[in-house]
Amino acid sequence: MHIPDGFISPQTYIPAIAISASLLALAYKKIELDAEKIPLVAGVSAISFVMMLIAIPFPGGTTMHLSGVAIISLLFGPWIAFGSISLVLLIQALLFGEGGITSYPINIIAMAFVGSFSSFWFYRFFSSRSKNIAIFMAGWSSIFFPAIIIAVVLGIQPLVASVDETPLYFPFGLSVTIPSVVIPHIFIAIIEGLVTLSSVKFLRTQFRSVFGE
Amino acid sequence: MSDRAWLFVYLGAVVILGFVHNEWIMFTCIIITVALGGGARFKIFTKALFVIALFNISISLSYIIYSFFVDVDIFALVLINLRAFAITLLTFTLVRRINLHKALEFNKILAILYGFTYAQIMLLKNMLYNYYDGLKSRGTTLKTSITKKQLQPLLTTLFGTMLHKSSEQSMGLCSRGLIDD
Repeated sequence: MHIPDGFISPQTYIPAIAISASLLALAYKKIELDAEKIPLVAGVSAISFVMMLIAIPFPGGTTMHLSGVAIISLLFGPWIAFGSISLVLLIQALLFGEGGITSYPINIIAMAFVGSFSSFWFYRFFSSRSKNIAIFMAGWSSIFFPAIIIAVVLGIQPLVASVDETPLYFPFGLSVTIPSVVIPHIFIAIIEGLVTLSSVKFLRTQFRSVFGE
Repeated sequence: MSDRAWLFVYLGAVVILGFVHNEWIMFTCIIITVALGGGARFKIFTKALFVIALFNISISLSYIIYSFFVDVDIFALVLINLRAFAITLLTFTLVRRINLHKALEFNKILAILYGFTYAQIMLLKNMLYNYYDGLKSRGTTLKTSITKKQLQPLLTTLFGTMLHKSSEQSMGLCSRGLIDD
């Protein structure tokens, strides 16, 4: 889901820098970084990074990797999840080339902010009905909604940055990006929901003193 | 020039490249970046090429197929691919040539966060790969994917280690007075 460098126009990423910087400033204010919180945010970021390396079997013989956004959001809260995943995306962009530096603000708005908060609010919304459904929906939403944002951002590039109908950045419009990005992610989101359900329930039992509600 | 200055030069260059729509300027930038790569230039070049390959090839091929049905300027792909490669190459060259931790020292908390995160990533990543190796040696893993039965003890170990390390680092920060509480 990470957008690489070179596909997003400055008309898109410059406003996104302003939005993401404001959100990050707010996040680190909310988290209240002190000697106790800094190592925790670093640790949660490392967990998120490593969870993205864990390959889950996918029907058809292929594998997908965990995103871990919902797991972290439900266990540590959406602000810590947002701050941590933003840090992970920065390290991934700089050291591993997963996601670009110019698309970094878009990636953190979509994956870190929307992913963390959609999972948190979906959990809150469904938890009165069923805890299991709530955790599943949290995992599902943490993939589905970021995918929509990524698809829209990519799809508007020909509209915002073209010369004589020749695209300067990402070449396909919304009619291509919406189905090609969102449809596969509907199924990936279901797997993420199931993994989130299994992991969150398990970790809440294992670390009752830390994550107990 | 200091690491911090290089970081800001890099960020400036990335923004400028975003506004450039000339293939030759992009190509020149790639040549200059390769020259700045020093002894590791070939390694950086191939790494950048490998990283952008999958996404760029799939987009380029799709656009070429699309051009059979719709009248489009196929040479737009040259600029798009060159820009993607130039920025990725610039990023890897920067990371190779400077100490990122030092470059981020203009903000103490950011530098500490980066240092702690990177250290924890290395620790947990090694644990994960050791776990995979352990499974592989016992013939219980399906290629490189992991099942629910294998995932749960792994998550316990990872989260347990992370929580333990975090509290240890927290005590370290307090005892050395690095953060004023």
